[in-house]
Amino acid sequence: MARSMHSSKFNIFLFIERTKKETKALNQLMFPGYYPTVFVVLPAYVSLIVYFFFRNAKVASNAGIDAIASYQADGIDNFLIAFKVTLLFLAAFLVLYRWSVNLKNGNYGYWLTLGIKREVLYLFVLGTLSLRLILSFLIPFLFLMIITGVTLSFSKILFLILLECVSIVFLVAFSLFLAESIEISELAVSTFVLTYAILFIVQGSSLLYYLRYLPLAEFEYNTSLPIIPLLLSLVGTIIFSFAGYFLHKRHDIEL
Amino acid sequence: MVSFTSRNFLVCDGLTKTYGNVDAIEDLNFVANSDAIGLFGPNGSGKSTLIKLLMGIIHPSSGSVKLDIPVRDIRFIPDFPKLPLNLTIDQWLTNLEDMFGDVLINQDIQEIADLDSEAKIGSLSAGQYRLAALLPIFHGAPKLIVLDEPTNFLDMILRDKILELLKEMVTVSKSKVIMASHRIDEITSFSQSVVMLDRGRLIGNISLSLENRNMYALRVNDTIQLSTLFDESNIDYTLRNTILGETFVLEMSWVFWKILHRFTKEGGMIYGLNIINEFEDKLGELARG
Repeated sequence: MARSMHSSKFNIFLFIERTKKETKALNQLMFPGYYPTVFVVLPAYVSLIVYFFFRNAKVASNAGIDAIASYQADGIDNFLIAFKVTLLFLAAFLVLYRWSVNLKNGNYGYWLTLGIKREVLYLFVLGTLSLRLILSFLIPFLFLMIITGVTLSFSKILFLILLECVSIVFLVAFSLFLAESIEISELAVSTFVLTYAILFIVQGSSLLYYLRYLPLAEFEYNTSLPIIPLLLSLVGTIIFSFAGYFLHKRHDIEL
Repeated sequence: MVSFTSRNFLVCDGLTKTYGNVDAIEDLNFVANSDAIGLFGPNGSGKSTLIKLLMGIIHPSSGSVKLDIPVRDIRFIPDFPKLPLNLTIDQWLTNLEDMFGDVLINQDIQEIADLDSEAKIGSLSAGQYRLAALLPIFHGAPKLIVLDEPTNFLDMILRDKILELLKEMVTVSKSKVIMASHRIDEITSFSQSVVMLDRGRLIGNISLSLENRNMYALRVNDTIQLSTLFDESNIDYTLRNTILGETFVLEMSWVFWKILHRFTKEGGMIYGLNIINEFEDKLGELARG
């Protein structure tokens, strides 16, 4: 009795031990060589460069407090757009294309022959890629919030971070879904890039606006939080994650 | 519904795999009847496809394949494995130890295979690459070892060494084996039963146990004379055209020896008398097309 109660508890060390193969497969397939650094450093680097060197205008020394605040929010907006563009590049080529090619070139197939569980690996890929990209967002974002002195309530900052995190997971889930559903890797990447290119070009509803990037100014001046875009992104993330997962379970892998 | 026993750990039920209009595997029905199964058939017979199906790497178009061993306890060495080329042999061995545990048999596999620790897998010759691909088998205690053309690219000396190591590993780990090979000697030395495939179809699921060995193949210089003698004595036989010439296939009996004695006394010559089993019989059928 005691033994069964003990075994039903989740044991993190046992989980790590049992998923060793999947971890090694993940590192070999998705993060060989310098890739882990690229995933964390590149988005942060590009977006910080954009923030520091592409500011629109200087603020006059006698400008009012509202103008300074607006200028600082614009700067962070630039950072967020640059971050999203870099993220799209990474998702298109280092997530979608790489995963799609791995399914076909025999590399992934070989790890399956070593007894890894494909369902576990898929969830690892989704989780690890999302976590790395969330990390690459959080560090520079919080750094900028502190040095620019943008003042937002704690709940708004948390909400903003939550929205961006969901949007990152959405991006990874969507790119993995495309890799699973479109057989030709180049076509899958083109579909992904085109979808987001249209999203950036079309000046449409507020939902598209939120998917494109996070408008910090809205957080600053509006009292209400944009719950609907968050919920829709969340639902989209769940749908694409599950769809990708089930497609992956049924996928014929090349060896 | 088939219930698994330690013997029938593999069950194929109406298994079919289609690529476009081509049936790579067509309506395969069999139950594994031993702990060491050989998959035998010519090129394109569907051996590798069958292995991929039972490993769950590809999915059946219809029917099912059931393997009563968890994927984690299986070591499968495909015919053309895509090893991680950026790793050195040492790094590869460390990975294998982390994933499966230490080498089970008391042998220095790396030394026997003469693999340089610092050499990158991407820089190995075809034979060395094959040896590096075989390394996972020797780590931990697998419950099933699946080998697809395991000795491809190996020279004869190394091939014998590796086969000996494989046999030792199978004995020590008490694992079941599925081996696909073109080589009859490998199949017969490793398997207790053979699943024979031709163009995706099952042509035999044959036990290699000695109990089945009751048929003989006889080749002589004068088949007409011997046929007459057999007919006179009402002995059942079949006369087959093999690559070695006309061959009598028949069961052993006391009368058979008497007729053979009479045949040789009358000047007839025996070219060959071999004990055959169903496997060799089917092989003959395959050779005759």
